[in-house]
Amino acid sequence: MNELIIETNQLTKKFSKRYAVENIDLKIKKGEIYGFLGPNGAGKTTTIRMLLGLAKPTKGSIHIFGKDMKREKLNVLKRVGSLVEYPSYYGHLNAYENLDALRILLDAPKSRINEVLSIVRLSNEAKRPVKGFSLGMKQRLGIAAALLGNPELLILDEPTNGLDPSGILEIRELIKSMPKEHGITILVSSHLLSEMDQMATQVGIISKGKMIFQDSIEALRQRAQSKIAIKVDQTEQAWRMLLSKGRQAEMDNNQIYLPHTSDEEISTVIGDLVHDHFSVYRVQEEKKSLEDIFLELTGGEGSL
Amino acid sequence: MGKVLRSEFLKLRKSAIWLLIFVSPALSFLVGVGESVEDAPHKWELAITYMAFIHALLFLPLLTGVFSAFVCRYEHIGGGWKQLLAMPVSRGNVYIAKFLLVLGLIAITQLLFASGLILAGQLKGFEEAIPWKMIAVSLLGGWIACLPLAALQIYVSVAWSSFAAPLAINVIFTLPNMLIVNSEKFGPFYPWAQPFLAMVPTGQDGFGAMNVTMETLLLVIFGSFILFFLSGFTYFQRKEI
Repeated sequence: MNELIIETNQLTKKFSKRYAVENIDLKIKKGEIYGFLGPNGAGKTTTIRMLLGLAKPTKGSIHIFGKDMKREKLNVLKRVGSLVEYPSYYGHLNAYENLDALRILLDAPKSRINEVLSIVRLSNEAKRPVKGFSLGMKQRLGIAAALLGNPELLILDEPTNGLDPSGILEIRELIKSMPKEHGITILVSSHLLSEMDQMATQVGIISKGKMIFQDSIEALRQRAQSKIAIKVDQTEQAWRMLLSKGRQAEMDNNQIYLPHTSDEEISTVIGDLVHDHFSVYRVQEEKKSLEDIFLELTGGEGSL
Repeated sequence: MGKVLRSEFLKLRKSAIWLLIFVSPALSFLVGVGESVEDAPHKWELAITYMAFIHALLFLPLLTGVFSAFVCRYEHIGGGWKQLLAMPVSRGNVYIAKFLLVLGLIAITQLLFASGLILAGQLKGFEEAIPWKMIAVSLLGGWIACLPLAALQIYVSVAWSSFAAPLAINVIFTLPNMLIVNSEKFGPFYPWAQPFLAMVPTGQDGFGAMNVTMETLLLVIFGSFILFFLSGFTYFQRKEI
Protein backbone atom coordinates (compact mmCIF):
# COMPACT_ATOMS: atom_id res chain seq x y z
CA MET A 1 0.00 0.00 0.00
CA ASN A 2 3.00 2.27 -0.19
CA GLU A 3 2.56 3.08 -3.81
CA LEU A 4 2.26 6.84 -4.27
CA ILE A 5 -0.68 7.76 -6.46
CA ILE A 6 0.00 11.48 -6.42
CA GLU A 7 3.41 12.94 -5.87
CA THR A 8 4.32 16.54 -6.46
CA ASN A 9 7.72 18.01 -6.09
CA GLN A 10 8.21 21.68 -5.25
CA LEU A 11 4.97 22.48 -7.04
CA THR A 12 4.69 26.22 -7.44
CA LYS A 13 2.26 28.56 -9.15
CA LYS A 14 2.93 32.24 -9.38
CA PHE A 15 0.36 34.76 -10.59
CA SER A 16 2.25 37.87 -11.66
CA LYS A 17 4.00 38.61 -8.37
CA ARG A 18 1.94 36.61 -5.93
CA TYR A 19 2.60 33.01 -5.08
CA ALA A 20 -0.71 31.14 -5.12
CA VAL A 21 1.03 27.86 -4.41
CA GLU A 22 4.58 27.58 -3.21
CA ASN A 23 6.79 24.50 -3.10
CA ILE A 24 4.09 22.00 -2.34
CA ASP A 25 5.12 18.37 -1.96
CA LEU A 26 1.94 16.36 -2.00
CA LYS A 27 2.29 12.69 -1.23
CA ILE A 28 -0.82 10.57 -1.51
CA LYS A 29 -0.73 6.82 -1.12
CA LYS A 30 -3.00 4.30 -2.77
CA GLY A 31 -6.33 3.77 -1.05
CA GLU A 32 -6.13 6.89 1.08
CA ILE A 33 -8.76 9.52 1.53
CA TYR A 34 -6.55 12.54 1.51
CA GLY A 35 -8.15 15.59 3.05
CA PHE A 36 -6.76 18.73 1.50
CA LEU A 37 -7.54 21.48 3.95
CA GLY A 38 -7.06 25.17 4.02
CA PRO A 39 -8.87 28.45 4.43
CA ASN A 40 -10.54 30.00 1.39
CA GLY A 41 -7.94 31.31 -1.03
CA ALA A 42 -5.12 29.23 0.41
CA GLY A 43 -4.32 27.63 -2.94
CA LYS A 44 -6.31 24.41 -2.83
CA THR A 45 -8.12 24.89 -6.10
CA THR A 46 -5.01 26.18 -7.85
CA THR A 47 -3.16 23.04 -6.77
CA ILE A 48 -5.99 20.85 -8.01
CA ARG A 49 -6.12 22.65 -11.35
CA MET A 50 -2.44 21.93 -11.80
CA LEU A 51 -2.95 18.28 -10.89
CA LEU A 52 -5.58 18.02 -13.62
CA GLY A 53 -3.52 19.83 -16.22
CA LEU A 54 -5.91 22.79 -16.37
CA ALA A 55 -3.15 25.17 -15.30
CA LYS A 56 0.57 24.94 -15.83
CA PRO A 57 2.88 24.91 -12.83
CA THR A 58 5.36 27.77 -12.71
CA LYS A 59 7.85 25.35 -11.24
CA GLY A 60 7.98 21.80 -9.96
CA SER A 61 6.72 18.46 -11.17
CA ILE A 62 3.60 16.33 -10.82
CA HIS A 63 3.54 12.56 -11.00
CA ILE A 64 0.24 10.73 -10.94
CA PHE A 65 0.26 6.90 -11.00
CA GLY A 66 4.01 7.37 -11.27
CA LYS A 67 3.62 9.13 -14.62
CA ASP A 68 4.83 12.59 -15.43
CA MET A 69 1.81 14.85 -16.02
CA LYS A 70 3.75 16.92 -18.50
CA ARG A 71 4.36 14.01 -20.80
CA GLU A 72 1.51 11.61 -20.22
CA LYS A 73 -1.39 13.88 -19.39
CA LEU A 74 -4.05 12.09 -21.39
CA ASN A 75 -3.06 8.63 -20.15
CA VAL A 76 -3.29 9.89 -16.59
CA LEU A 77 -6.58 11.71 -17.07
CA LYS A 78 -8.21 8.55 -18.40
CA ARG A 79 -7.93 7.11 -14.90
CA VAL A 80 -8.92 10.24 -12.98
CA GLY A 81 -12.37 11.52 -12.14
CA SER A 82 -12.69 15.09 -11.01
CA LEU A 83 -14.96 17.81 -9.77
CA VAL A 84 -13.37 21.24 -9.66
CA GLU A 85 -14.67 24.13 -7.59
CA TYR A 86 -18.31 24.34 -8.61
CA PRO A 87 -20.13 21.75 -10.66
CA SER A 88 -19.98 21.95 -14.44
CA TYR A 89 -23.05 21.28 -16.48
CA TYR A 90 -24.80 22.02 -19.74
CA GLY A 91 -28.04 23.70 -18.74
CA HIS A 92 -29.87 22.98 -21.98
CA LEU A 93 -29.32 19.23 -21.65
CA ASN A 94 -30.92 16.91 -19.14
CA ALA A 95 -28.90 14.98 -16.58
CA TYR A 96 -28.66 11.90 -18.77
CA GLU A 97 -27.47 13.85 -21.81
CA ASN A 98 -24.98 15.76 -19.70
CA LEU A 99 -23.37 12.52 -18.68
CA ASP A 100 -23.68 11.10 -22.18
CA ALA A 101 -21.64 13.97 -23.63
CA LEU A 102 -18.83 13.03 -21.23
CA ARG A 103 -19.31 9.29 -21.52
CA ILE A 104 -18.53 9.47 -25.23
CA LEU A 105 -15.18 11.07 -24.41
CA LEU A 106 -14.39 8.38 -21.87
CA ASP A 107 -15.43 5.45 -24.06
CA ALA A 108 -17.56 4.18 -21.18
CA PRO A 109 -20.57 1.96 -21.85
CA LYS A 110 -24.00 3.60 -21.93
CA SER A 111 -25.15 1.51 -18.98
CA ARG A 112 -22.63 3.32 -16.80
CA ILE A 113 -24.75 6.49 -17.00
CA ASN A 114 -27.65 4.90 -15.14
CA GLU A 115 -25.25 3.34 -12.68
CA VAL A 116 -23.67 6.63 -11.65
CA LEU A 117 -27.05 8.37 -11.65
CA SER A 118 -28.33 5.85 -9.14
CA ILE A 119 -25.15 6.16 -7.04
CA VAL A 120 -25.85 9.86 -6.56
CA ARG A 121 -29.61 9.27 -6.45
CA LEU A 122 -30.54 11.28 -9.48
CA SER A 123 -32.20 8.45 -11.40
CA ASN A 124 -35.61 10.05 -11.03
CA GLU A 125 -34.38 13.39 -12.33
CA ALA A 126 -32.46 11.99 -15.27
CA LYS A 127 -34.77 13.45 -17.91
CA ARG A 128 -35.06 16.93 -16.46
CA PRO A 129 -33.06 19.83 -17.95
CA VAL A 130 -30.19 20.58 -15.61
CA LYS A 131 -30.78 24.33 -15.60
CA GLY A 132 -33.71 23.67 -13.28
CA PHE A 133 -31.58 21.73 -10.81
CA SER A 134 -30.76 23.01 -7.34
CA LEU A 135 -27.12 23.56 -6.47
CA GLY A 136 -27.10 20.35 -4.48
CA MET A 137 -28.42 18.37 -7.42
CA LYS A 138 -25.87 19.92 -9.75
CA GLN A 139 -23.21 19.01 -7.25
CA ARG A 140 -24.37 15.42 -7.24
CA LEU A 141 -24.45 15.40 -11.01
CA GLY A 142 -20.85 16.62 -10.92
CA ILE A 143 -19.92 13.74 -8.66
CA ALA A 144 -21.72 11.35 -10.98
CA ALA A 145 -19.67 12.76 -13.85
CA ALA A 146 -16.49 12.23 -11.87
CA LEU A 147 -17.40 8.58 -11.32
CA LEU A 148 -18.38 7.97 -14.94
CA GLY A 149 -15.09 6.57 -16.15
CA ASN A 150 -14.57 4.16 -13.24
CA PRO A 151 -11.59 6.21 -12.07
CA GLU A 152 -8.77 4.93 -9.90
CA LEU A 153 -8.24 8.39 -8.53
CA LEU A 154 -10.96 10.83 -7.62
CA ILE A 155 -10.16 14.50 -7.19
CA LEU A 156 -13.03 16.31 -5.56
CA ASP A 157 -12.76 20.01 -4.85
CA GLU A 158 -15.21 21.02 -2.12
CA PRO A 159 -17.69 18.28 -3.03
CA THR A 160 -20.14 19.07 -0.26
CA ASN A 161 -20.44 22.74 -1.14
CA GLY A 162 -24.05 23.77 -1.34
CA LEU A 163 -25.44 20.47 -0.12
CA ASP A 164 -27.96 20.20 2.68
CA PRO A 165 -27.02 18.20 5.80
CA SER A 166 -28.49 14.96 4.54
CA GLY A 167 -26.77 15.44 1.21
CA ILE A 168 -23.46 16.08 2.97
CA LEU A 169 -23.89 12.90 4.95
CA GLU A 170 -24.72 10.94 1.82
CA ILE A 171 -21.70 12.20 -0.08
CA ARG A 172 -19.46 11.62 2.91
CA GLU A 173 -20.59 8.03 3.23
CA LEU A 174 -20.14 7.59 -0.50
CA ILE A 175 -16.60 8.94 -0.35
CA LYS A 176 -15.76 6.78 2.64
CA SER A 177 -17.06 3.63 0.98
CA MET A 178 -15.11 3.99 -2.24
CA PRO A 179 -11.57 3.14 -1.14
CA LYS A 180 -12.90 0.09 0.68
CA GLU A 181 -15.08 -1.21 -2.12
CA HIS A 182 -13.13 -0.29 -5.20
CA GLY A 183 -9.65 0.57 -4.01
CA ILE A 184 -10.06 4.11 -5.27
CA THR A 185 -7.75 6.81 -3.97
CA ILE A 186 -9.44 10.09 -3.17
CA LEU A 187 -8.18 13.62 -2.87
CA VAL A 188 -10.89 15.77 -1.36
CA SER A 189 -10.48 19.41 -0.54
CA SER A 190 -12.42 21.41 1.96
CA HIS A 191 -12.20 24.43 4.17
CA LEU A 192 -14.14 22.58 6.84
CA LEU A 193 -11.98 20.64 9.23
CA SER A 194 -14.89 18.89 10.90
CA GLU A 195 -15.79 17.36 7.57
CA MET A 196 -12.29 16.03 7.02
CA ASP A 197 -12.21 14.73 10.55
CA GLN A 198 -15.03 12.40 9.64
CA MET A 199 -13.66 10.92 6.48
CA ALA A 200 -10.00 11.61 5.80
CA THR A 201 -7.24 9.18 6.60
CA GLN A 202 -4.47 11.60 5.63
CA VAL A 203 -4.50 15.33 5.93
CA GLY A 204 -2.62 18.06 4.18
CA ILE A 205 -3.11 21.58 5.44
CA ILE A 206 -2.29 24.46 3.17
CA SER A 207 -2.21 28.09 4.16
CA LYS A 208 -1.21 31.05 2.01
CA GLY A 209 0.06 28.69 -0.65
CA LYS A 210 2.31 26.73 1.63
CA MET A 211 1.89 23.24 3.01
CA ILE A 212 2.06 23.57 6.76
CA PHE A 213 1.05 20.07 7.82
CA GLN A 214 0.95 16.72 6.07
CA ASP A 215 0.43 13.54 8.01
CA SER A 216 -2.22 11.09 9.11
CA ILE A 217 -5.36 12.36 10.77
CA GLU A 218 -4.25 10.58 13.97
CA ALA A 219 -1.07 12.59 14.03
CA LEU A 220 -3.17 15.71 13.79
CA ARG A 221 -5.40 14.50 16.59
CA GLN A 222 -2.40 13.78 18.78
CA ARG A 223 -1.55 17.40 18.60
CA ALA A 224 -4.79 17.96 20.37
CA GLN A 225 -3.17 17.25 23.70
CA SER A 226 -5.24 17.95 26.72
CA LYS A 227 -4.38 20.16 29.69
CA ILE A 228 -5.55 20.03 33.25
CA ALA A 229 -7.25 23.20 34.41
CA ILE A 230 -7.53 23.89 38.13
CA LYS A 231 -9.67 26.59 39.59
CA VAL A 232 -8.77 27.76 43.12
CA ASP A 233 -9.65 30.72 45.30
CA GLN A 234 -6.30 32.55 45.27
CA THR A 235 -5.01 31.74 41.85
CA GLU A 236 -1.79 33.71 41.89
CA GLN A 237 -0.53 32.49 45.25
CA ALA A 238 -1.42 28.92 44.38
CA TRP A 239 0.39 29.27 41.08
CA ARG A 240 3.55 30.62 42.79
CA MET A 241 3.42 27.79 45.28
CA LEU A 242 3.23 25.19 42.50
CA LEU A 243 6.07 26.88 40.62
CA SER A 244 8.19 26.89 43.76
CA LYS A 245 7.67 23.13 43.95
CA GLY A 246 9.03 22.82 40.46
CA ARG A 247 5.74 22.18 38.63
CA GLN A 248 5.28 23.39 35.07
CA ALA A 249 2.21 25.38 35.85
CA GLU A 250 0.80 28.19 33.78
CA MET A 251 -1.66 30.80 34.80
CA ASP A 252 -4.26 32.09 32.42
CA ASN A 253 -7.82 33.28 32.68
CA ASN A 254 -7.68 33.10 36.46
CA GLN A 255 -7.04 29.38 36.24
CA ILE A 256 -3.97 27.22 36.63
CA TYR A 257 -3.03 24.93 33.77
CA LEU A 258 -0.89 21.86 34.06
CA PRO A 259 0.36 19.83 31.12
CA HIS A 260 -1.28 16.45 30.73
CA THR A 261 0.19 14.10 33.38
CA SER A 262 -0.65 10.92 35.23
CA ASP A 263 -3.48 10.62 37.76
CA GLU A 264 -0.98 10.25 40.63
CA GLU A 265 0.72 13.52 39.72
CA ILE A 266 -2.59 15.33 39.74
CA SER A 267 -3.55 13.92 43.07
CA THR A 268 -0.19 15.06 44.53
CA VAL A 269 -0.78 18.57 43.16
CA ILE A 270 -4.26 18.70 44.66
CA GLY A 271 -2.86 17.40 47.95
CA ASP A 272 -0.29 20.19 47.99
CA LEU A 273 -2.96 22.79 47.28
CA VAL A 274 -5.24 21.51 50.00
CA HIS A 275 -2.34 21.23 52.41
CA ASP A 276 -1.58 24.94 51.90
CA HIS A 277 -5.24 25.82 52.53
CA PHE A 278 -6.23 26.77 49.05
CA SER A 279 -9.85 26.03 48.20
CA VAL A 280 -9.99 23.89 45.10
CA TYR A 281 -13.19 24.59 43.17
CA ARG A 282 -12.73 22.66 40.00
CA VAL A 283 -10.28 20.29 38.37
CA GLN A 284 -10.99 19.52 34.74
CA GLU A 285 -9.37 18.23 31.63
CA GLU A 286 -9.42 20.69 28.75
CA LYS A 287 -9.01 19.26 25.29
CA LYS A 288 -7.82 21.33 22.42
CA SER A 289 -10.14 20.76 19.51
CA LEU A 290 -8.92 20.11 16.00
CA GLU A 291 -10.29 23.52 15.19
CA ASP A 292 -7.91 25.09 17.67
CA ILE A 293 -4.98 23.29 16.12
CA PHE A 294 -6.09 24.25 12.67
CA LEU A 295 -6.35 27.88 13.70
CA GLU A 296 -2.99 27.64 15.39
CA LEU A 297 -1.39 26.15 12.30
CA THR A 298 -2.94 28.62 9.90
CA GLY A 299 -2.13 31.53 12.16
CA GLY A 300 -5.72 32.18 13.08
CA GLU A 301 -6.83 33.47 9.70
CA GLY A 302 -8.81 30.39 8.81
CA SER A 303 -12.54 30.66 8.79
CA LEU A 304 -14.07 27.39 9.79
CA MET B 1 -11.18 13.26 -32.72
CA GLY B 2 -14.35 11.37 -33.64
CA LYS B 3 -15.29 11.11 -29.97
CA VAL B 4 -14.88 14.82 -29.41
CA LEU B 5 -16.98 15.64 -32.46
CA ARG B 6 -19.74 13.26 -31.39
CA SER B 7 -19.80 14.75 -27.93
CA GLU B 8 -19.85 18.28 -29.32
CA PHE B 9 -22.62 17.42 -31.71
CA LEU B 10 -24.70 16.00 -28.88
CA LYS B 11 -24.35 19.26 -26.98
CA LEU B 12 -25.22 21.31 -30.05
CA ARG B 13 -28.09 19.15 -31.23
CA LYS B 14 -30.32 20.05 -28.31
CA SER B 15 -29.61 23.75 -28.43
CA ALA B 16 -31.64 26.56 -29.91
CA ILE B 17 -29.07 27.31 -32.64
CA TRP B 18 -31.05 25.46 -35.26
CA LEU B 19 -33.62 28.22 -35.47
CA LEU B 20 -30.95 30.71 -36.45
CA ILE B 21 -29.73 28.93 -39.54
CA PHE B 22 -33.06 29.60 -41.24
CA VAL B 23 -33.07 33.35 -40.71
CA SER B 24 -30.70 34.44 -43.42
CA PRO B 25 -31.82 32.01 -46.15
CA ALA B 26 -35.44 32.95 -45.47
CA LEU B 27 -34.82 36.69 -45.68
CA SER B 28 -32.64 36.29 -48.76
CA PHE B 29 -35.37 34.27 -50.34
CA LEU B 30 -37.83 37.13 -49.80
CA VAL B 31 -35.36 39.52 -51.40
CA GLY B 32 -34.91 37.12 -54.30
CA VAL B 33 -38.64 36.97 -54.84
CA GLY B 34 -39.19 40.69 -54.37
CA GLU B 35 -36.47 42.10 -56.60
CA SER B 36 -37.43 42.87 -60.14
CA VAL B 37 -35.14 41.19 -62.65
CA GLU B 38 -37.63 40.87 -65.54
CA ASP B 39 -35.70 42.76 -68.21
CA ALA B 40 -32.20 41.73 -67.21
CA PRO B 41 -30.32 39.26 -69.39
CA HIS B 42 -28.63 37.24 -66.64
CA LYS B 43 -31.44 36.70 -64.20
CA TRP B 44 -29.75 34.08 -62.05
CA GLU B 45 -26.61 36.16 -61.67
CA LEU B 46 -28.63 39.17 -60.80
CA ALA B 47 -30.78 37.28 -58.30
CA ILE B 48 -27.80 35.79 -56.55
CA THR B 49 -26.17 39.23 -56.36
CA TYR B 50 -29.27 40.80 -54.85
CA MET B 51 -29.65 37.98 -52.39
CA ALA B 52 -25.99 38.09 -51.50
CA PHE B 53 -26.39 41.71 -50.49
CA ILE B 54 -28.48 40.57 -47.59
CA HIS B 55 -26.95 37.20 -46.97
CA ALA B 56 -23.23 37.55 -47.59
CA LEU B 57 -22.76 41.21 -46.82
CA LEU B 58 -24.66 41.17 -43.57
CA PHE B 59 -25.93 37.88 -42.23
CA LEU B 60 -23.14 35.50 -43.10
CA PRO B 61 -20.48 37.44 -41.15
CA LEU B 62 -22.91 37.97 -38.29
CA LEU B 63 -23.92 34.33 -38.20
CA THR B 64 -20.32 33.19 -38.27
CA GLY B 65 -19.82 35.21 -35.11
CA VAL B 66 -23.00 33.92 -33.52
CA PHE B 67 -22.16 30.30 -34.29
CA SER B 68 -18.65 30.68 -32.89
CA ALA B 69 -19.85 32.35 -29.75
CA PHE B 70 -22.57 29.77 -29.39
CA VAL B 71 -20.41 26.65 -29.45
CA CYS B 72 -18.31 28.24 -26.69
CA ARG B 73 -21.20 29.68 -24.73
CA TYR B 74 -22.41 26.52 -23.06
CA GLU B 75 -18.89 25.79 -21.94
CA HIS B 76 -18.49 29.25 -20.45
CA ILE B 77 -21.77 29.49 -18.58
CA GLY B 78 -21.85 26.07 -16.97
CA GLY B 79 -18.15 25.84 -16.18
CA GLY B 80 -17.84 23.24 -18.91
CA TRP B 81 -14.29 24.05 -19.93
CA LYS B 82 -12.70 22.70 -16.78
CA GLN B 83 -14.75 19.54 -16.87
CA LEU B 84 -14.16 19.02 -20.56
CA LEU B 85 -10.42 19.64 -20.42
CA ALA B 86 -9.96 17.41 -17.38
CA MET B 87 -11.23 14.61 -19.59
CA PRO B 88 -8.78 12.51 -21.55
CA VAL B 89 -9.08 14.67 -24.65
CA SER B 90 -6.45 16.86 -26.19
CA ARG B 91 -7.08 20.56 -26.25
CA GLY B 92 -6.20 20.64 -29.92
CA ASN B 93 -8.98 18.22 -30.76
CA VAL B 94 -11.48 20.19 -28.72
CA TYR B 95 -10.55 23.39 -30.54
CA ILE B 96 -10.70 21.78 -33.96
CA ALA B 97 -14.04 20.13 -33.14
CA LYS B 98 -15.56 23.46 -32.13
CA PHE B 99 -14.24 25.02 -35.30
CA LEU B 100 -15.62 22.23 -37.47
CA LEU B 101 -19.04 22.67 -35.86
CA VAL B 102 -19.03 26.32 -36.87
CA LEU B 103 -18.03 25.42 -40.41
CA GLY B 104 -20.76 22.79 -40.49
CA LEU B 105 -23.38 25.28 -39.41
CA ILE B 106 -22.23 27.75 -42.05
CA ALA B 107 -22.33 25.01 -44.66
CA ILE B 108 -25.93 24.20 -43.78
CA THR B 109 -26.81 27.88 -43.97
CA GLN B 110 -25.23 28.04 -47.43
CA LEU B 111 -27.23 25.04 -48.63
CA LEU B 112 -30.43 26.59 -47.34
CA PHE B 113 -29.49 29.80 -49.12
CA ALA B 114 -29.13 27.86 -52.37
CA SER B 115 -32.52 26.28 -51.88
CA GLY B 116 -33.93 29.76 -51.35
CA LEU B 117 -32.30 30.98 -54.54
CA ILE B 118 -33.53 28.10 -56.66
CA LEU B 119 -37.01 28.34 -55.19
CA ALA B 120 -37.14 32.07 -55.88
CA GLY B 121 -35.99 31.47 -59.45
CA GLN B 122 -38.63 28.83 -60.03
CA LEU B 123 -41.36 30.97 -58.52
CA LYS B 124 -40.49 33.86 -60.79
CA GLY B 125 -40.20 31.54 -63.75
CA PHE B 126 -36.62 32.24 -64.91
CA GLU B 127 -36.46 30.77 -68.37
CA GLU B 128 -32.70 30.15 -68.26
CA ALA B 129 -31.57 26.77 -66.96
CA ILE B 130 -30.39 26.70 -63.38
CA PRO B 131 -26.68 27.60 -63.49
CA TRP B 132 -25.54 24.87 -61.09
CA LYS B 133 -21.89 25.55 -61.56
CA MET B 134 -22.18 29.23 -60.79
CA ILE B 135 -24.29 28.53 -57.74
CA ALA B 136 -21.86 25.91 -56.50
CA VAL B 137 -18.89 28.22 -56.97
CA SER B 138 -20.69 31.00 -55.18
CA LEU B 139 -21.73 28.83 -52.24
CA LEU B 140 -18.38 27.18 -51.85
CA GLY B 141 -16.60 30.51 -52.27
CA GLY B 142 -18.74 32.07 -49.58
CA TRP B 143 -18.12 29.15 -47.28
CA ILE B 144 -14.37 29.24 -47.78
CA ALA B 145 -14.37 32.99 -47.34
CA CYS B 146 -15.87 32.46 -43.89
CA LEU B 147 -12.83 30.47 -42.76
CA PRO B 148 -10.68 33.41 -41.61
CA LEU B 149 -13.62 35.09 -39.94
CA ALA B 150 -14.68 31.88 -38.20
CA ALA B 151 -11.11 31.32 -37.00
CA LEU B 152 -10.97 34.86 -35.67
CA GLN B 153 -14.37 34.69 -34.01
CA ILE B 154 -13.77 31.36 -32.35
CA TYR B 155 -10.50 32.69 -30.98
CA VAL B 156 -12.30 35.66 -29.44
CA SER B 157 -15.17 33.49 -28.20
CA VAL B 158 -12.87 31.04 -26.48
CA ALA B 159 -10.89 33.83 -24.88
CA TRP B 160 -13.84 35.81 -23.54
CA SER B 161 -16.36 34.23 -21.27
CA SER B 162 -18.92 36.82 -22.28
CA PHE B 163 -21.36 35.90 -25.01
CA ALA B 164 -22.16 39.48 -25.96
CA ALA B 165 -18.66 40.90 -26.27
CA PRO B 166 -17.48 38.83 -29.25
CA LEU B 167 -20.82 39.47 -30.93
CA ALA B 168 -20.65 43.19 -30.35
CA ILE B 169 -17.18 43.28 -31.89
CA ASN B 170 -18.47 41.26 -34.79
CA VAL B 171 -21.37 43.62 -35.42
CA ILE B 172 -19.10 46.65 -35.24
CA PHE B 173 -16.81 45.19 -37.87
CA THR B 174 -19.63 43.90 -40.06
CA LEU B 175 -21.46 47.20 -40.40
CA PRO B 176 -18.77 49.02 -42.45
CA ASN B 177 -18.88 46.16 -44.97
CA MET B 178 -20.96 48.26 -47.36
CA LEU B 179 -18.17 50.77 -47.68
CA ILE B 180 -15.29 48.38 -47.57
CA VAL B 181 -16.43 46.17 -50.45
CA ASN B 182 -16.14 49.26 -52.60
CA SER B 183 -12.48 49.55 -51.89
CA GLU B 184 -10.26 47.60 -54.21
CA LYS B 185 -7.39 48.10 -51.79
CA PHE B 186 -8.85 47.02 -48.47
CA GLY B 187 -11.81 44.88 -49.43
CA PRO B 188 -10.01 41.63 -50.07
CA PHE B 189 -8.12 41.91 -46.79
CA TYR B 190 -11.14 42.55 -44.63
CA PRO B 191 -12.37 39.23 -43.18
CA TRP B 192 -15.91 40.51 -42.83
CA ALA B 193 -16.11 41.51 -46.50
CA GLN B 194 -14.58 38.36 -47.91
CA PRO B 195 -17.77 36.24 -47.90
CA PHE B 196 -19.56 38.78 -50.06
CA LEU B 197 -16.68 39.20 -52.46
CA ALA B 198 -16.44 35.46 -52.87
CA MET B 199 -20.15 34.89 -53.33
CA VAL B 200 -21.00 37.52 -55.89
CA PRO B 201 -20.35 36.23 -59.41
CA THR B 202 -17.46 38.15 -60.94
CA GLY B 203 -18.28 39.92 -64.15
CA GLN B 204 -17.41 42.91 -66.27
CA ASP B 205 -19.64 45.28 -64.40
CA GLY B 206 -18.24 44.74 -60.94
CA PHE B 207 -17.27 47.58 -58.72
CA GLY B 208 -14.52 48.20 -56.20
CA ALA B 209 -13.03 45.08 -54.68
CA MET B 210 -15.22 42.90 -56.85
CA ASN B 211 -12.71 43.37 -59.63
CA VAL B 212 -10.12 41.55 -57.60
CA THR B 213 -9.50 38.14 -59.11
CA MET B 214 -10.66 35.00 -57.37
CA GLU B 215 -7.05 33.81 -57.15
CA THR B 216 -5.92 36.83 -55.21
CA LEU B 217 -8.94 36.59 -52.95
CA LEU B 218 -8.38 32.92 -52.21
CA LEU B 219 -4.74 33.54 -51.47
CA VAL B 220 -5.60 36.26 -48.99
CA ILE B 221 -8.34 34.13 -47.46
CA PHE B 222 -6.18 31.08 -46.91
CA GLY B 223 -3.27 33.16 -45.68
CA SER B 224 -5.29 34.97 -43.08
CA PHE B 225 -7.17 31.81 -42.14
CA ILE B 226 -3.94 30.02 -41.30
CA LEU B 227 -2.71 33.01 -39.33
CA PHE B 228 -5.91 33.41 -37.29
CA PHE B 229 -6.45 29.73 -36.75
CA LEU B 230 -2.94 29.06 -35.53
CA SER B 231 -3.03 32.06 -33.18
CA GLY B 232 -6.28 30.87 -31.61
CA PHE B 233 -5.11 27.27 -31.53
CA THR B 234 -1.86 28.14 -29.73
CA TYR B 235 -3.69 30.44 -27.38
CA PHE B 236 -6.11 27.67 -26.42
CA GLN B 237 -3.27 25.22 -25.83
CA ARG B 238 -1.79 27.55 -23.27
CA LYS B 239 -4.95 28.95 -21.76
CA GLU B 240 -5.31 28.45 -18.03
CA ILE B 241 -8.74 27.18 -17.18
